[in-house]
Amino acid sequence: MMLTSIALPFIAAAIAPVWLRRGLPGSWLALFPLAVFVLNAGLYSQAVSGMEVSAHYPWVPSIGLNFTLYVDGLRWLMLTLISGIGTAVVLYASSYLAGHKDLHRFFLWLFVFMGAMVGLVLADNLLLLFVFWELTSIASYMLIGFTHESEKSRASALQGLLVTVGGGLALLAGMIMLGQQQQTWLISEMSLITEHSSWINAAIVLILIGTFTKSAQFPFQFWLPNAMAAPTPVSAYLHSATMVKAGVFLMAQLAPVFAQQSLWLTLVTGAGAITMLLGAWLAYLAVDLKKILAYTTVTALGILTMLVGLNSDYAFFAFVTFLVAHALYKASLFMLAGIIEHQAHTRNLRHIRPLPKFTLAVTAVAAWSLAGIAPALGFIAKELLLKASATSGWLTAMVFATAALTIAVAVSLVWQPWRSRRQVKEQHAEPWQQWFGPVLFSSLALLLGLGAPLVQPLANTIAEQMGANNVIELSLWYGLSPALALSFASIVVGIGLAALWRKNRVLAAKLRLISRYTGTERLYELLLAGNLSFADWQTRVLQNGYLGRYLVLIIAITTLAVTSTLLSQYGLPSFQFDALEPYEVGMLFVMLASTLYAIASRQRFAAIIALGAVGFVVALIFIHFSAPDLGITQVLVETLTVLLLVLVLLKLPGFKNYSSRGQRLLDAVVACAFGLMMTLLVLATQENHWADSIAHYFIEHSYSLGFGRNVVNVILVDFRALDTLGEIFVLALAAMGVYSMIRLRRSRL
Amino acid sequence: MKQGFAPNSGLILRTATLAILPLQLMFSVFLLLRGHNEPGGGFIGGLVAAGAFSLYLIVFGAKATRRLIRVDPQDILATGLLLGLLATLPALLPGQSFFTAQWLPLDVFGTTVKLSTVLVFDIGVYLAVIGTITTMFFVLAERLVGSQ
Repeated sequence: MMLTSIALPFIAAAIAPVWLRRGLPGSWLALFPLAVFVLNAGLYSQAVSGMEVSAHYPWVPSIGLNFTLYVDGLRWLMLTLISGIGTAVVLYASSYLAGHKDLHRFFLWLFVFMGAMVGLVLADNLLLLFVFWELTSIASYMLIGFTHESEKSRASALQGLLVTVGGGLALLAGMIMLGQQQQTWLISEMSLITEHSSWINAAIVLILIGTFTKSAQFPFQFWLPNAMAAPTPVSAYLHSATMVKAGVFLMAQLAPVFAQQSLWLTLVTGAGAITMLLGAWLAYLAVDLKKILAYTTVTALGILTMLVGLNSDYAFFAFVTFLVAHALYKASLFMLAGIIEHQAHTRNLRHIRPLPKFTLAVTAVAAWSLAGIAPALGFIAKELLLKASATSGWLTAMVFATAALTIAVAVSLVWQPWRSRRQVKEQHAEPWQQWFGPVLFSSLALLLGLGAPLVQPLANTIAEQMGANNVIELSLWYGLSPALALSFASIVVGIGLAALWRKNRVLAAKLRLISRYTGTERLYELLLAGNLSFADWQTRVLQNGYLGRYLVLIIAITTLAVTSTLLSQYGLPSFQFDALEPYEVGMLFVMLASTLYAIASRQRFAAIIALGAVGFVVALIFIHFSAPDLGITQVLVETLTVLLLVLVLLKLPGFKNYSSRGQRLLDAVVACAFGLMMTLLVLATQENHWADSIAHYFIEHSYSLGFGRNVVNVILVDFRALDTLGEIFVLALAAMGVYSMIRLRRSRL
Repeated sequence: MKQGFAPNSGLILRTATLAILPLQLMFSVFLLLRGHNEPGGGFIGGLVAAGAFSLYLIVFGAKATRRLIRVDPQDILATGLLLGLLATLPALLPGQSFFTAQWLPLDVFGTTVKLSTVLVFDIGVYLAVIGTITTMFFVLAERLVGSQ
């Protein structure tokens, strides 16, 4: 059943392009996420009662990567949000993007995104989770860059990809360290770590880099607001239920494991708190509707992260409540942003035109939840959040400021279009597919505050999993308390800030600019630019295109590395040439003479013949040491090389020396050093037997296993046939290289 | 200068080439087949055959050589690679590890002929080597030297 849930979106991804190319209505595709939703709903009682639902399918058992799936309370909740909001998003997109030329591509990636997210929250195996984790990054890259004609869109997509995939690499390392420590890859089998060691600390830092990049936590928060370059339905999905929630989800899953690690608690709480306040502040400064919403998502992710780090009963219950509330109002607000943009013909809140009453009303309901005022579910979350942060004065102050700023933003979202006296431009009614999500989710977010008992059992299960000891009743009324007073005060301050919203826009624009040039995004840009110019520089130095330079570099570095290792590890081998026969010395002299002739010759043809002579002597040496196959091959290759050279000889430019004297001297030094190195190596191997030769094995088993008496051939085609297969492919590549270099160039030489 | 690569090649060279070519090709097949027990094998055999074609090309030009070979040298190359890959597969049927050699001795008129994936693979190597070298020779002869 869980496997079906993962498979359904991918099946949809395969079907969608065909379906849409035939002109069939996209709304029907919403049945796929709906089916996942229904399948998942059937697991509710098991998930809430804490009964484990798991499934296991081997995939790559040798490295411990298996399809081990698992459902608990939090996973069930995430799956409900992903499939439920997914259904609304598919419906919305089918109408919002109707007629778009790349609609099939859009749905393909949207469903891959969905499937990856479903897989991510169902995966119990850390490695499997990582696979889906990276898949969400790739899918979001395709979606953020959907309008790839726009340069900004491409840059944003690349930014999101680099940040999240870069973090993903750190995460993989952290996961492996954690898995080593826990002796298991299964999250459900992991237990509290009581020891404190640098190993654990390194694992924590690496895992957090992964989750912070994914969930847009400070200092990696900048990619998320830029990701709004994606079409609105994607933003709605990415911000509410998918992608960014992955990091929070993983932190919540690992919270019980790291509950006693002060590094984990400090980093998670600290980054969360900073992100929360920063997001709220930037949301207040922004004027673009989608950007405002994006920054409030940054705030929400900061809050969720902080709550994981606070690690108390209040914090865990606030976590669950806020997770639900935020997903609901954020999905509806983003979908509304798309509708508002259609109706007001702008996304800029300063220049917004009056909106139809219905739009404004739905926006008001959603904004009410964003502000977190009773009876919305967000109110309970905020109350619990204030109680949870009461442990520290600093945190309380930060939460208060965040709440006030968020309320100011929420009020402005409704107040600005309400107050607008601009000319109304043509307003067309949006179809039901677009209204379905916003209306449903914003009313749910508002009413679930009253229906809090409905959420209670789920909240109990999840909070207990995360490590809560006591049950906290979810209620709109906790009695008079400092938290309630603060909540009330934040409303007053928030409304005050909202009243000033229009007046302080000039100042806000300046502040935006300052944060743009001092923020961590600037650091990202500098790093990226630095990386590119470094790549440019080292390419120019190392890959300058001159074959001679490459050869000298490769040979010089090899010589240095090998000689220094040999001399330091082994010392100088003794020079003993007793076993040398006179005719062997003769062969060597022929080789040496031919080489010198090839170097000194002023005629190309003579040089080629001289080189050929060297090759034939090498063949002679092979045959002399009873390796007839090698000898034959060497002779044939030499012959063919000479033939080839003769063929191109006519067309080559005049035989000149292009290199300077100094260059040639350097070449000579490098060549001699290499020769010396080879000599030393051979002498050293002659003196010692570091390892048993494998030759005996091949000679002994050549006939018994390979049914051949020619050992060389048996090695080539049987024992080491895979190498040979690789080699013939290299040959083919070389042939294709020559073919394309010469045949496919535009002009003849 | 357009008609052939070496239009002025001597009578002796031309006659000799015609005589040597079939012998060299037969010899290459002989080397290929005996390679498992005596010096030889697909690689060496392929080099010998490629040498034969190269000699023909230098003497009679690229066009004549294409007529002689009939198939595109790149197709020979591709066939070789495919045969090489094909030889890896039969081991999967009995569930042995990738590329394990499979033997099938057959009695033909009293002589045992040992058919095997090793032989298929060696033929693949043989063809790949011929394909690679003749591809290079053709390209150089037709484009660089300008003879068609």
